Amino acid sequence: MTILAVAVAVLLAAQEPAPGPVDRFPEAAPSYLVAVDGEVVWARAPDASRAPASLVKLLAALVALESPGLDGWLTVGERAAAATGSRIGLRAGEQVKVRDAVAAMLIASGNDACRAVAEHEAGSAAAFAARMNGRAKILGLERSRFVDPCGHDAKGQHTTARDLERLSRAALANAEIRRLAAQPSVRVTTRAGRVLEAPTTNALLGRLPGADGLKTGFTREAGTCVVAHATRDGREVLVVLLGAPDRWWTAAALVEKAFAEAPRRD
Amino acid sequence: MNASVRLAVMLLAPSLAAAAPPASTPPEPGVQWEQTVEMQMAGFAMPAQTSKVCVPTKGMTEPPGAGRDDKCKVTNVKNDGKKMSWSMVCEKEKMTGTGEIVQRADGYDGKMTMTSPDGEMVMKLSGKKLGGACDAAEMKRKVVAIQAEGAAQLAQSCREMAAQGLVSVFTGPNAMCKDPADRAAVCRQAATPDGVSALSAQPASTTQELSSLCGKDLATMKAEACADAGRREAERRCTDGSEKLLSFIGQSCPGETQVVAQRECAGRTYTDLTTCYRSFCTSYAGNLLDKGKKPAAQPPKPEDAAQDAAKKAVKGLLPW
Repeated sequence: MTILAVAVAVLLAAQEPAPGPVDRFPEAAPSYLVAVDGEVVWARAPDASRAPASLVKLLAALVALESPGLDGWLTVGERAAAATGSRIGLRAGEQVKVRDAVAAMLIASGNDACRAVAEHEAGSAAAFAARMNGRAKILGLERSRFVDPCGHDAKGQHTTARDLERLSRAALANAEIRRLAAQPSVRVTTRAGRVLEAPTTNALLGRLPGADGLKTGFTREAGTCVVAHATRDGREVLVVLLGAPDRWWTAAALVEKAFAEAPRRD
Repeated sequence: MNASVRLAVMLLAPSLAAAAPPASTPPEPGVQWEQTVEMQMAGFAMPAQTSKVCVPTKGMTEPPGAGRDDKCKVTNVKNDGKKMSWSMVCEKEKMTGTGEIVQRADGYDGKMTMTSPDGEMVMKLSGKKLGGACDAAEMKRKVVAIQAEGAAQLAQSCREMAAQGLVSVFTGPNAMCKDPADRAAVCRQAATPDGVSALSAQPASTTQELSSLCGKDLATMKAEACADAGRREAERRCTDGSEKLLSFIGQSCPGETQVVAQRECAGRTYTDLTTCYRSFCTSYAGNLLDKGKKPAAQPPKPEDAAQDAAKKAVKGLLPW
């Protein structure tokens, strides 16, 4: 009987999953994840369902940049021109290059630019969201569903820190997104010659050594969010913060700690 | 250098006064001599070594090689004008011995016997007057100049090592640097941010030696360094050198860290900060997170609070 009990205990122990990342900073955010050189080292509720806010624009940009016609012109519709939240100031009827609009939605998180891209690419925001969900499936974002391509809170729209980490990896693998995400500002010239400029929404760029991306987000439901990416001396750190009380302090501190403390995988 | 070879070289070198004369030593009439040393130990013999030296015209007044080697001391010199004898002690090699030469008008002959842990060594000494005028004081002046240069270099090195906080050369009975001014400089340096940082990488024995040298323990020196860093940082406020001071304070001075953090970090947003406090405050935020606290002591308004509030007033769902 004793031998049997021991055998059962051994079997149960063997079936226990490997210990996951440690929640070392419980006050950082309700859901967060820190990965160093591709390995998640610290996390809290990484699979919890959360509103994605504008972090979803990473997927929107990926889908748009994988589509043909980037150097063509798109016409800003009325809904796009009326988009709320962060904007670069597009007007209905104006034409801008698709590539520039993608840059505006990534760098300045412009909802007007984002909506214009979505409608240009798929005819409607809903149709573009459907494309995004198809791409998400291919990426293996199993716990995500996207309804609004630009990240406005919407019923049924949700993601997780772990899915956002995976999405971020795909975004970083895209050279154009990687380049745009590191820009301090964006400048868009309409076909008529009007120039629009907007600074990056990523406060870490130019302030945190090595910071080179990636995307910010904020809605009432999601709270303040950020996917921060930094590279130093051949190492890279990715921080996903969802609903962080203070995303900049927290992201900067976690990036510093990750570079300083996470073991090097050589 | 092998002790016996070194001794032979010393004996071949021109004779010098035991007490180094001043560099302004006037020329001294001399005559060229040829000196030869043949050395023998048990089962070992060195070929005869010969060299030319300038001997004072009045004749040899000191044993061959006296004063040429500060590791060996010549004592008990007796010279009646014809016969000269002496004793020699080389402390490092643990050698002692005696020597004797008999002088003639045109030269000298003699021997020297040295005893060391390796055995007995006998050196046959001979000198032959060659003739030809020379300055017997020239070599003395060169040696004095070399010694003075060496002393100056050592003093300079000691000052530099004091500034760098290299403790080991100032401590212990065989300390290389003994100038009280340099020792005081080491203690001053130890009580600075750089000094404390350097000491933290030193073995415990070094810090103990330093404590003994300076008359205070490491904790006291560290407290002094922190107070100094806090005072200087408060004076400089983002001018040259502040970042280094802030780094030291953040890493080594909990009390001063609190003071600076309250003054520069608390209640501020990440984007509010001037560049030189950003790294310090980020570290401080990290420490708060480590302690299970929110990253700001007084949680600042969210980064975009003003914007957010305005946006919320307009519409509830504002993604950016």
